[in-house]
Amino acid sequence: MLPAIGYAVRKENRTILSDPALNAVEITFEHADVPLRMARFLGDDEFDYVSVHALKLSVGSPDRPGLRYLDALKRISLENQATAVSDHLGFTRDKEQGVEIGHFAPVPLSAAALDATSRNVEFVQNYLAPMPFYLETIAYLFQLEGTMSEAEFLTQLLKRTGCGWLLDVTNVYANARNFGFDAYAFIDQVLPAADRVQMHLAGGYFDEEEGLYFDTHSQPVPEDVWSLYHFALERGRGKIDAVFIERDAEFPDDSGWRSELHRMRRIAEEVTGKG
Amino acid sequence: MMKMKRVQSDHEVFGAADSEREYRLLIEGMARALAWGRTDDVVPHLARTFGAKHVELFVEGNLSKRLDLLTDMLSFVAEDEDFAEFEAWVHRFIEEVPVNAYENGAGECDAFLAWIEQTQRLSARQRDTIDCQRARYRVGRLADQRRAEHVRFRELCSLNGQFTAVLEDDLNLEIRLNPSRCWSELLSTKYLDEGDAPPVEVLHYAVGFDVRTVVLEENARRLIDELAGLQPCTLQQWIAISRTADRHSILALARDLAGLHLVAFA
Repeated sequence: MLPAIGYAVRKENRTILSDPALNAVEITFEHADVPLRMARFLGDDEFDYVSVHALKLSVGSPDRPGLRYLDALKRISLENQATAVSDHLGFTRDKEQGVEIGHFAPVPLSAAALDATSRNVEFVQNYLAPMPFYLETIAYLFQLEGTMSEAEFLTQLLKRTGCGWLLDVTNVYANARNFGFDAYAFIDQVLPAADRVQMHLAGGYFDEEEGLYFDTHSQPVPEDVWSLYHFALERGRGKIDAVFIERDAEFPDDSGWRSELHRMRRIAEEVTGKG
Repeated sequence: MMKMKRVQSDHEVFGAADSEREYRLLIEGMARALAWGRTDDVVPHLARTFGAKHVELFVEGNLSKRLDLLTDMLSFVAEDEDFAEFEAWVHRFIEEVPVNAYENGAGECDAFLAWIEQTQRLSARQRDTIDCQRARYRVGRLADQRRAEHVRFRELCSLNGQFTAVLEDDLNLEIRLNPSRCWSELLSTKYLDEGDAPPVEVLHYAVGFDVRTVVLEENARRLIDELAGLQPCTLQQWIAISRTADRHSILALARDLAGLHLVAFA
């Protein structure tokens, strides 16, 4: 099965969404939920696969996500005829009427976090059904004290909830490079637990001073990430539903956008044998 | 045997509740510490191999994104000559006030402008700039809350040209006010035409993706308030009930307001 191939939609890449190599898009919920809008975010454009990517479900929080946010997320998803919905494995706030951190913090890798996250993921899945829900592995700068490895936590979470895995290949690459584990082994360990998979590819930079790779979505996809992508496609054969490139800064020109898109498709075709 | 099982079960339940409570306390504590940039509160809970430096990078990244968002989304304030202290205020705001749960970009900007109003002594010109921008956010929220009404009104507005041509002949047309609107008062001449003297009540309302602001004459303001209390109603009903204007004035105003996309007909 050839995964659906596309971009996370930004105003800078709207013009290349008609490229025949692209049959999928990911839209960020917060970009599409504009109060004064009349038309849907995607306008008249049609795609085989549309995924709505949310930022504030905070599935690692002790409270379940708020219904107002979920309602709006569902409304935007239906409005844009979404195939799927996704968010991140982390927590972004303390409680329902509390404060936002600003970015996803990694959940502690503990049994209590696994319980709370599973409960929230199941709630979200039931709310959004029949649209499948995918959970993204985040890039982190720190981890809180826990009792299991990230791969163990994720494996158990996927098995327990049956939710999809949004494997952000660059995030796994960044975490592995920054904190010294084998990205290939990580993917190899987690993939069997996922029934369905989406992937993200992006490019960041290595900060020599800090000694860390930052996934800034501002650079071309690095060669190491392309290799990991190839590996994940092989290992996840048959269950990779869609792959998206994310770019949020230092945007390429038209040929830059198209070149990464075509490479993403070419590799998928090579691995799946479908051209 | 049964008793033993029951004791075990109670213990398990108690253990789970305890663990859930501890988790809640941990996440609440960590989220607040990260939101306020209190790295020291996070460090004792870090897994081995992670240190204060990592948390600081996380916090700095968040603050920097917040700063960029406010500066970018409020560029017209940042670049306004009446707001020379904008940058210093943004920094203080970010240090003092965390982002509310679920807040989006507009909500965050609104919160910042509200904070300026509460914490700074502002000139009338500064107040007017803030007032107009906050009114835009209010209109956006109204459109969001009354989405079906907002969309229906926008659709009806597209027929305004057709209906205004026949108002005289069809008083059974229903007239509707733009549901995404709010009033505010300007205190300076900053946004007023020559000859208008503050304070002046202005109306902010949604047109397309934009929010427009108009200064209306006293009579028009009174009639809009009257219509707001009556609608939904036909032109005939409004004319019959109005204590403010006659048929000619109401139809003339209806035509003007339709041209501004403040009313629509059905």
